[in-house]
Amino acid sequence: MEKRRIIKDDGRYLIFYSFSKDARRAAAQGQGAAGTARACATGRVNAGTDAGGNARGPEAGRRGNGGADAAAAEPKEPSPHV
Amino acid sequence: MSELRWHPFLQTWVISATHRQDRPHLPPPEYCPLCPTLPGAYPTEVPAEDYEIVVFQNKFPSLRPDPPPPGIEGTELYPVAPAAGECEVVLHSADHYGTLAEESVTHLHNLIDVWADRFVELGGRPEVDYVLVFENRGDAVGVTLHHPHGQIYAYPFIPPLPARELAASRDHFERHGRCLGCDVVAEERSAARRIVHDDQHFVAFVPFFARFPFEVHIFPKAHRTALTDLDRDERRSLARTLKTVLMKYDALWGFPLPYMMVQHARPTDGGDHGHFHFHIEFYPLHRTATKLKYLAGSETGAGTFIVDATAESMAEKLQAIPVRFDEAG
Repeated sequence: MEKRRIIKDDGRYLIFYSFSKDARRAAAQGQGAAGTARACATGRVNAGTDAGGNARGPEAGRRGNGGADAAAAEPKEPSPHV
Repeated sequence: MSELRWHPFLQTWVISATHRQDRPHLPPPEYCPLCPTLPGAYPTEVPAEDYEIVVFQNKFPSLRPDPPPPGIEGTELYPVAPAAGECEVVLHSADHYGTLAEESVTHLHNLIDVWADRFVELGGRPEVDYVLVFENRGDAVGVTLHHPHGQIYAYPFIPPLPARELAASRDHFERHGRCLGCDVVAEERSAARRIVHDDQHFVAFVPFFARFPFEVHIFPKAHRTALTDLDRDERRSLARTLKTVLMKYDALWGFPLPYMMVQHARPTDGGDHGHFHFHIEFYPLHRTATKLKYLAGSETGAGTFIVDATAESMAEKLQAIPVRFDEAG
């Protein structure tokens, strides 16, 4: 089990737990990709999240509402729900 | 704002957390804050395109490591205290529509490892006396986010129900020289008729004293006080048992059964709680496919539960549901 802790923009911690080699690689790359996406939306990037790799890519339909559409959409403002 | 207010009649703390009124309430899937953050989409709580298991601090915590002072001055009759502690969210699936029952035994084993890791880390904090791992599932239970997730509360005190269980366990041990949980397991296994699943190291049953419809308890057969006491084989056995119970629940009426899942472990206050027997309790709320059990006057006002079916009949229905899965998956 690999445990990787990051600090979010608002100071809260978040811990990725990874178990398989593939998943650990995806988590490391995915976070970098997400950090880039986040930078698009917020103009901020967490330290150590600038790998910029693409993990598994968007998984269309994953959320049942067209993941491909979501991935292709313009960056949105952070959800008020977050 | 959050603070602890003392209930002098029940002699327990009540958490007043007014800011939680502002938390999201059943957002549509496209605005789910617990899904992975996809490229170009709005950022969610998880800054990654995928994840296996993620734990993070709740944005709307009832308890926090650096709580503000109480917003009201206490009195001798009405003490107040800062709401110190921690509230974490546990994401065990990146799939918005996933369920624990659908997870592989290996993934459930991984989740058990994460729960144990959180128990050690949070329980090791000096202000934390009790770590409660739980999951609320389904609208009937009052979830505010549909994405599958569990929670962990780290309390600065031992909550009243675990405290009563501890006192009962201690009393039983002093009177009989045996663990109460071990005796319950022996009695249920001897009776056999309420057993839902009997695995290598764990047993699941509808307890003789069930309070909720289709309530199931999962106990280790050997005396263990917390997840951290379990070795690898025992954790695997717990994963199999969890999956079996969850699959039976979801097959009971053909829809994901709403439930509360609560782990009961020893406190982390530094006291001697070796007499306590770790276990997991499931509290479903459906008494039929279309009827809910409400905690009404007797249950809420008097603490006396009324169930509409016998534990034996509920166990029989769960026993009759066949469950098959590939453990290697």
